[in-house]
Amino acid sequence: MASKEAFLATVRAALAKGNDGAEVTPPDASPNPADDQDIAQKAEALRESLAQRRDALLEQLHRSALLQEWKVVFVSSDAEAREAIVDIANGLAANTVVRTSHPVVERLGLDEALETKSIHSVLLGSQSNDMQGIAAGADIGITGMDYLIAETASASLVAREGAARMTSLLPPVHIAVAQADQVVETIEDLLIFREAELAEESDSNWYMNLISGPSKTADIEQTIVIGVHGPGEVHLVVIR
Amino acid sequence: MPSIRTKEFTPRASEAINNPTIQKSLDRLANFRQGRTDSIEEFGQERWDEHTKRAKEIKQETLGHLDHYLDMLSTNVERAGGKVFFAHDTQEANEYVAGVARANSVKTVIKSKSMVSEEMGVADYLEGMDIEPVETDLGEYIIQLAKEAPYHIIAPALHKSKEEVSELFQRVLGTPAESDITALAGIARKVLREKFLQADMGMTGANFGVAEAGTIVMVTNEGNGRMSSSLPRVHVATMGMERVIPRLSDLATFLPLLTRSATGQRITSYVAFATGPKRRNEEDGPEEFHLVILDNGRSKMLADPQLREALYCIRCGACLNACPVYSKVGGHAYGWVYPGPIGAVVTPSILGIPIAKDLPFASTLCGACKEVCPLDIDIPRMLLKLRSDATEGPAGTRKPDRIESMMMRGWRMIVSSPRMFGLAGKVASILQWPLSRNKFMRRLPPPLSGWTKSRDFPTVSAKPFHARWSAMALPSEKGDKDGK
Repeated sequence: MASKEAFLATVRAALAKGNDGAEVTPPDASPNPADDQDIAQKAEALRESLAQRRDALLEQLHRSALLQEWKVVFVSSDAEAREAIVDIANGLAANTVVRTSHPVVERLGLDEALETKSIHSVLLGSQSNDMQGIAAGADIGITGMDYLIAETASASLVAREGAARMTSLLPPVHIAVAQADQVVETIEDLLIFREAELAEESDSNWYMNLISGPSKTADIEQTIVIGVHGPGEVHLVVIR
Repeated sequence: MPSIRTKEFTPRASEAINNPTIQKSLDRLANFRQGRTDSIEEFGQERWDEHTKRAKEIKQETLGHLDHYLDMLSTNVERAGGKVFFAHDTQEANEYVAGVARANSVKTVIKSKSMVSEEMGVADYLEGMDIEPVETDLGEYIIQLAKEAPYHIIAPALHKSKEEVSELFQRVLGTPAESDITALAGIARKVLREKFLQADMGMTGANFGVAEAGTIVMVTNEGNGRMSSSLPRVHVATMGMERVIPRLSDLATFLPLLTRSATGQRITSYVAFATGPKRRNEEDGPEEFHLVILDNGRSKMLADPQLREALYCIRCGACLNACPVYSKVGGHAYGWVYPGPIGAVVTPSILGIPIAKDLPFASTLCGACKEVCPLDIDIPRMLLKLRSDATEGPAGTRKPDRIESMMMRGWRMIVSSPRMFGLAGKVASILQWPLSRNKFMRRLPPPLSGWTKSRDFPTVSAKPFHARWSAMALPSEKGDKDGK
């Protein structure tokens, strides 16, 4: 049975033996996000810079989202977002929708709006005894997203209370909802914001998912098939 | 460990070359090559080169202090509530995984694609303990049903035609014949969805282990990585010890290098950051998280200044796609888990030169692998080093035979004297005439017949290069450059 110490001793011995005399940068002693004093200021400066470029970023997001095979809906109010989502669900003849309690979804009042079309909307949570069964049986999963990366059309998601992972994973259709002020340009930007958030919450848990289009494969004859294990149809609803 | 067939390089290469279905599949590598080229153009060559440069610096820094960063990674994984196991070899790694499975009374394990788990042969190991391992990446699932090794680092079932997949599904799953690829994928989705919902344990690889965050990052398109790490009660991730990176911000450097080199994608459909088990206030997620960090010969590469660079590899597969040898002989000829140019370096380094001595010779040293490598790894240099170890080193068992040595001595004599070289050219241009047709020789007599068995040899020109060179107009005169 290898212990960590024995393993690291082997690594150290290998390093000593294989040292070719090249200059090696000293190690980053403690790059723990919570220790970064400047991160809050860095995030604030970035927020301002992004706000100034918002229109251009939204355009870039729109272009890349289409390339990444999102179905893109830009709306200008919560009411329009609600209407767009009900239309999508109605168009798919959905019976059941599962959703998270992310603020951007919560405030849309989707449950009542969907109910008028006889579509049952459930906040997916661990209180239910068959959470997995409900998610797997649902026609659509609706989640609020934390950030949108314009360059790659990636929507980020962390797991938290009221935001089950399987909401965006098991149903065949996923509707991702976000606000225009959540758009960043690159993954670098997103990491800065996440770091700042974690530092503020004195948290260090980096669980996160980036979703950048439908589930797909090209494993047979390099022919692309959409919708393998995850959702095959993904909608991105952006509220300006 | 999975079966090792590295000593069968020549017969298995011939088999692939003579199989038209496989050659057709290998021709499709052109899609990967084109995808990569287009994607780098979109990204911007200059920006790409900066990323490569930065990535090399990060790798050099990380490997130079590997003990430090592995310690940091494991401390932070534990802080997030996960368990870390350091395994010297695949036996230890397999025993640990099996122990976790036993402790949780696991009957079914769902796996997402991981080269390290192939290296461990963990699927066979679990099967031997009456635990059902199910590969869930479509390509991996296909080769698991066919009981084969992966053909390509990122496209395991590259060599299978849709007809073969249909026959395989009919035979093993009892499904009807199907000629539509979407429908074939649908069959797999349906079967595997059931497995996902009933599995007690999920296994994944890790494209990156981020030391500062105690997070492992998985890059997938199908969503099976997210499912394997989210749905079952237990999540076990395996990674080679070289896959650690210091900081989250380093991902901004590595992610585009990986996905754009591999398939030409801006990003994959999913990039999942798994950090320990689920926390108390979360709705779902695994209750246990284990990270297995594997050495298995990597410390030997770390200890060799000439081979350490091979540990920079991020397993994108670009060198396979670019390699003129891989593109003909395919993945199975390499006989183990890692095929292609990087496999020809990694396999003898891990398994030992005597077992895999043919692999470093399976290259034309054209340099295409280095050219496309997003880490600019000097694979040709390492292949030469391994060749020299194989012939002259203490482990050298591939001694050149007497005829080969004699020919090399003769060649050295001829090329080291301009007069001899000129004379030899003249003699050859006379001797070759009964064999040449349209400036090519289609068949040479033994011992040179091996060369012409699969390709033609160009005839020696009547007017040699040095004669044409002297007759060439000077560049300033803008004359006919061919010197005709």
